[in-house]
Amino acid sequence: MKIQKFFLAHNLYTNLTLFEKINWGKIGNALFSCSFVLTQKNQKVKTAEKLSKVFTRKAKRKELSRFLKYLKGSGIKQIFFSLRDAFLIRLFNDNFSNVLLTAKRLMLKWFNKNLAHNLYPNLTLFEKSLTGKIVFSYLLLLTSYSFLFSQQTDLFSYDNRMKFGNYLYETKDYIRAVDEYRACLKINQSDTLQFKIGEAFFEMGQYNFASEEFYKLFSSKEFGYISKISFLKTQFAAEKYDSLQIFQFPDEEQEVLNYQLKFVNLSLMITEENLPGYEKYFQPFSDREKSVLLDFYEEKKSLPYKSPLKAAVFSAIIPGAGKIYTGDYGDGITAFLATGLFAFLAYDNFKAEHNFRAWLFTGLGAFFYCGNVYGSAASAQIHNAKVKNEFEAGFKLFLKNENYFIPFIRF
Amino acid sequence: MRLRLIKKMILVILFFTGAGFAQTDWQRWEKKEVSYEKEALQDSLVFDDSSVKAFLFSTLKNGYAFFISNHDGDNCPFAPTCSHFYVDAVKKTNIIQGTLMFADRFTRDSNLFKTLEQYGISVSGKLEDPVIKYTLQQDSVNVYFKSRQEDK
Repeated sequence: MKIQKFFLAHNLYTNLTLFEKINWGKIGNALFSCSFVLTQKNQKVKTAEKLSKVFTRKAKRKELSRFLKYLKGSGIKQIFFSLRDAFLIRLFNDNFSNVLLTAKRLMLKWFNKNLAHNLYPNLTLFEKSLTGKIVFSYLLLLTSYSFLFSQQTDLFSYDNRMKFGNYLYETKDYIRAVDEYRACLKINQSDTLQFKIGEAFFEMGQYNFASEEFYKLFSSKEFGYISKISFLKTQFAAEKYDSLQIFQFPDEEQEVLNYQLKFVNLSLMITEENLPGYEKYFQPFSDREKSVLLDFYEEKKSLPYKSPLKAAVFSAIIPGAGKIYTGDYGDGITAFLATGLFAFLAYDNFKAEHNFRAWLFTGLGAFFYCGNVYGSAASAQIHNAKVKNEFEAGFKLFLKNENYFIPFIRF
Repeated sequence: MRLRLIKKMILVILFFTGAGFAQTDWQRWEKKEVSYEKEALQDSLVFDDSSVKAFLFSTLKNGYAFFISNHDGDNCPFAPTCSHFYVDAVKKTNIIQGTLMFADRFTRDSNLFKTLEQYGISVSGKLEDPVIKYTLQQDSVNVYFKSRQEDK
């Protein structure tokens, strides 16, 4: 209880230093005792509850229950609710004076009824009401001052939104950062924010939106060059390799064109089966980039593709040989065993002149034989697709992790 | 003589009724979400009478499903299963190519040393082996493997 009291008093004193002019001896004492009474009353409720368990007499019980009812009906709850409503409505609505007035009226009513005679038992009716008014109007003044103070800080100002947007961008919450930046752009046009929106979309993988944002900045002085390169980057990431080749920038800068050639040549690594010659391919790259890319260039030139036709022919000559050629050893051996078994059975039955059985086994043998020829061609294609996919995945991972070619900006 | 005939008759009737109301292991043991909407069964026995070829094929398929597959249970190591593979293959290409594909699938199925490396795992926990891989079109095969790489 002591701690509670101390805190109440401390809060009141610190707040009241704002109103230095007012003489504050009497009222301070009144407030003090008021807070004391409030805390004491809670204590009383608890002790009363305990007592009710101890005493068994009916009369005393009745008295206690009456006392508890009196406490409950004193309207403490109501006042706090109305105060809370006043706070909330102030936040959303300017017209709060009515709510505040009703709150004040309720407080006064409660005070006059329950507390005034505890503080000053010898006062007249008029004086009681007066003290109540003084004390609670002062409380209301304090709270209303804090309302006034809160009104001055605007959370949705340009600077605050920008700061918040930057924070979201740093924490990789790109979609909300874009919202904040767009709200800022409505107030003040800025190329940096435009570019950042584009970058945010790029990070999210929304390449269409990103390229739109970068396209808007082509005529910008500071961000013209970098936005063009970022535009090429989004086209490359979105796998629009055709539009990379065809796209023409409004003004022909040599560096930008060089970058376009770079991206086109990188895309050839993925699309084309046969790469162009060494000198033609490495023309736009610098020496350092050449040394890194050369490994991929040579690997691409000598990828271990296997021809489906060869596999089919091998299988036609020896059943299962095509599958062994493409690397599916288990399947090749089973195909050889299956066709071999049925061929032997057919041969044996023809020899023993069991014609029906013989024809049945030749049919089954032919079924497996033809299936194997078809399947070895298919398995060669699957092998090729696997090889191609593995190379592409490795190349893309390299571009993603070892970012030598694409300029990257840190804000 | 009569008793024997009646016995046989009863056995035959029992067999057909059993086949008619049989429940696969899959249906019996799978955890199911309760839904109160009436839905068409995915693998219902419907006879396709749009053409003679389709009718013959659907009778073959339904016959297999009714007499063999439903009693055998869910034993195929691949997804889709061999019978579904055959149906898909014939629908996507033609009956000759589909049969060739099925023959290839049959040999691969009888291979005892199938590896995950070769096929990859499907959603149902089986070896994934769809029809797209065997249509002899390099582009569609490439697209299939690329999409699987992205799923990873």
